[in-house]
Amino acid sequence: MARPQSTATQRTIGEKLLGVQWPLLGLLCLLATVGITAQVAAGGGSFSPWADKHALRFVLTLALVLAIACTPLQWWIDIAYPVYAIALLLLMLVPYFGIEALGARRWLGIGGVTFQPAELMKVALVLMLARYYQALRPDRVSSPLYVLVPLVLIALPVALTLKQPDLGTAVLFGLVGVTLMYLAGVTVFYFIGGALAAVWAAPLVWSRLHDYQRRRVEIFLDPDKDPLGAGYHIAQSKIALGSGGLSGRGFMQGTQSQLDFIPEKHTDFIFATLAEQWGFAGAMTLVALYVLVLALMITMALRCRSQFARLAIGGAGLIVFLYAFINIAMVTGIVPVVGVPLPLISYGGTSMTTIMVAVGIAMCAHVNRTTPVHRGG
Amino acid sequence: MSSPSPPARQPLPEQRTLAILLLIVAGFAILGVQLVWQATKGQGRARLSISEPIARSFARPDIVDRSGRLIATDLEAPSLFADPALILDVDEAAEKLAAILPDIDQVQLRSTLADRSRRFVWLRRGLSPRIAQRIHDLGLPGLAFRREQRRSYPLGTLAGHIIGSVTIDNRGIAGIEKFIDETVGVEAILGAKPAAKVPVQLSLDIGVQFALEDELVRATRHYAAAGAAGIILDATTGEVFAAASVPELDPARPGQTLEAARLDKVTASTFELGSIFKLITIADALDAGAATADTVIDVRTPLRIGRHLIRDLHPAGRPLSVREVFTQSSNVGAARLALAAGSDRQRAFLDRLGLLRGGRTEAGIIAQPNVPLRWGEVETATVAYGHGLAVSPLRFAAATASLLNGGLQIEPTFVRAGNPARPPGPHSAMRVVTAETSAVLTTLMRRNVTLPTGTGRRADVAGYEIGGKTGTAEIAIDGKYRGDQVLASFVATFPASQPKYVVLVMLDRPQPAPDTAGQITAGHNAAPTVARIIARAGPLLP
Repeated sequence: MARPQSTATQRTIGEKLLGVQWPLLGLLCLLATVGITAQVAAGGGSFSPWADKHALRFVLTLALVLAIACTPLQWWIDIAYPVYAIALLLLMLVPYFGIEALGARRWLGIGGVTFQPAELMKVALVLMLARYYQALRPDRVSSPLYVLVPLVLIALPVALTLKQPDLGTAVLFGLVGVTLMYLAGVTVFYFIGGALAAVWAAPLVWSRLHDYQRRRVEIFLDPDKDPLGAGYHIAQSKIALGSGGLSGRGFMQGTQSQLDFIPEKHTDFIFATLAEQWGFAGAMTLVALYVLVLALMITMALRCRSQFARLAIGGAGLIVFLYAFINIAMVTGIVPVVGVPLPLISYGGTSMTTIMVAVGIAMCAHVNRTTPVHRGG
Repeated sequence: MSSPSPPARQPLPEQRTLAILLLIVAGFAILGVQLVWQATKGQGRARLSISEPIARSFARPDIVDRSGRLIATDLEAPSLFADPALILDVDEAAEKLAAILPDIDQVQLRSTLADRSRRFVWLRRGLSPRIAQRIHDLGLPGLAFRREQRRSYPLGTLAGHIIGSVTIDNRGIAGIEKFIDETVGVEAILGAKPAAKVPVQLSLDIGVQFALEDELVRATRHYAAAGAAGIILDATTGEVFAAASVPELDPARPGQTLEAARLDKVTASTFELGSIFKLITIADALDAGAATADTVIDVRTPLRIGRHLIRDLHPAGRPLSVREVFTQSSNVGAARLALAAGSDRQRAFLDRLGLLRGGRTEAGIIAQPNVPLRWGEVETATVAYGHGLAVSPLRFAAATASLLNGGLQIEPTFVRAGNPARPPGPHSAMRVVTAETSAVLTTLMRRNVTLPTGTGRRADVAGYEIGGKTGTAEIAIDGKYRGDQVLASFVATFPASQPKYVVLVMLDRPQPAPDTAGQITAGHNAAPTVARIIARAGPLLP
């Protein structure tokens, strides 16, 4: 604790690269390969327009992961609060300067480049909470005032994204934040109390939801209500899952996806096209891949000495988990349709960048797992 | 942890992390269960909810004429389809089929039969029983028939423009057939079930229709015209007894509608109808009280409006009464009457007669009139004798009927009153002119035929009290009117003592014939054509 200068910074880049969790990167490559295959199938057997770009993006972001892994962990601790502040500011700007698409305002454009501040916020939220609990004395973790501060810091982005409106991301922020608080050691009574409060507040939230959000929930509860309208997504993807059966129809043989019955077949609903081609067996293999990724990340977290490193890895893992879980649950009809992509499989640069940056920070934390970090503050 | 936390809390982070791991595993387990559920129990096959199932067709009610004689009906006919998966030898099947159906596209047939991923593909719809039997006798597996309802028109091209046509699936796409789809309704069927609906009874009489078409075809040939059109309607009810456009249109060949010459001239086209419009100009003047039949108008000099000069074909050289303006067809006289009335009143009157709107009948859309962009003095004067305003002949015939039937507005219709396809219309018809005006107009019409100098004298048929008016409109070609290209028309009514029928005949660009003394004016071709039509169709009319 007495040495502010950690030993990690004295290691060479080569040594750091040796310390990287290579099995995890291997798994990510495997997932990305599945993604590229799926994009080829969605593109009707051609690498363009999706598979080639998907592959290129993965290679670039993989390099980004390695680059981040070689940075000193202290950098991330230092920039955690400022990044959060910037992300929050950008989120607040979206309603005024945002670009509207499909009834929601989520994008900001700066000099010809558009991006979603919400994506930055996902990483920023993890960093901010990890930084917060790194600095907090363990005996204060559960005291009301020190619980309230992170709650407010989580609630702000949740409220802002709900306004956009983007229900999926808001839920993701809330779940990541609350779970990180749990991981940080906040006493379980707060969570029980919170759950009760949520049940009590549900009707209130319902009344504030956007029309289309409410319809999605209704349709989710009874998709047959409107199979050709709002229930179309779920109905078609369920048919694709049933069409795949146990062993699948084979590569590029999915009638649902090849005939364009599935909407968003290369982005949010790519799991349905995969499941139709490779069946239950293929789908479960993919799920197993995600479980392996998360199990690896959790063992990484367990081996960390500092709270920051542990929570950073936990947060990154949570982001991957929530993306994968919400997406698959949505496609299989367990949760309502929200626009959440399948990590490393769905087409789209934004979500891939977010996930890979999160993984990069986790990797950096892993490389520096034994480095003692000063409490800071 | 390097922090000085109490030893009792040391394992907490591990516990919590493991708890989260458990949650994650549980979450994925739920996904797994749902996947099993969907993969095994889920619907394995998409229910195709296309609005019309494959190989469905439609049964249509018959179309009959006003006496119940058949015009269009559904006949059961076999249609040939293939199940490529069952075809043993594609080459053999294709060759044998092509021998029986020589016009079939062999290359396409071969590739169709070779595509084993399809289980149903039509090869030929609506075969004759003899051809179907020959294909059946080939004994080729994978070929089979389905019996379907096919529309057929036993009278051939008769009333083709009015009847319209259907698609290969027996859906109406034009004319009365389309009206049936939209209003009466067709029945979706699998197989060959005849329609249960009451036949659609038209106002047409096929005898009158045939007489009209036959005479128009004869006139087209005799006067070497580019085409002809005619209409006979009930002056008091608006029911059309016959309407024809030459060259004719075969309802069984929908492709013919693409030929510009076959466009329906009665409803779908508009024409500058020429001097028959003077009937309307005089009706307006009489009805407004601006003139009587005896009012004298100075037509000695051509009328100059700006740079335009309006002159008569045969200047009278003396002032003419309104009566004479009509019978001698004086452009100057009609123009002066219209100018006295003013453009606003002229337009209001034309509008009241329905000449400034299109609309629709059971047989389809009535063409919108071509109205002058600017309706100033010149336009008022030219419209008075039927130039500068193009209207559909159907609208003009209906306007004439309204003027002569005692002055009550009628709407033309092709469906007989009382048929379920025609809902009863409003009973109180709007008055367009007074009964007195109507009577005077009828007298003028009759006089124009009976006078030895009347332009309509060649339209007379003994026993029918025919009254009528000629119109010879120069046709504008590339913006210029040409004296040798005219639209000759004749509008007639009979019996003049109590007008019951209105007949309108148009000849498109007639040429001089042996019996026209070198003339192409309506009095020499359209008027005698009307006489022949009335002589033939008169006895058949109800």
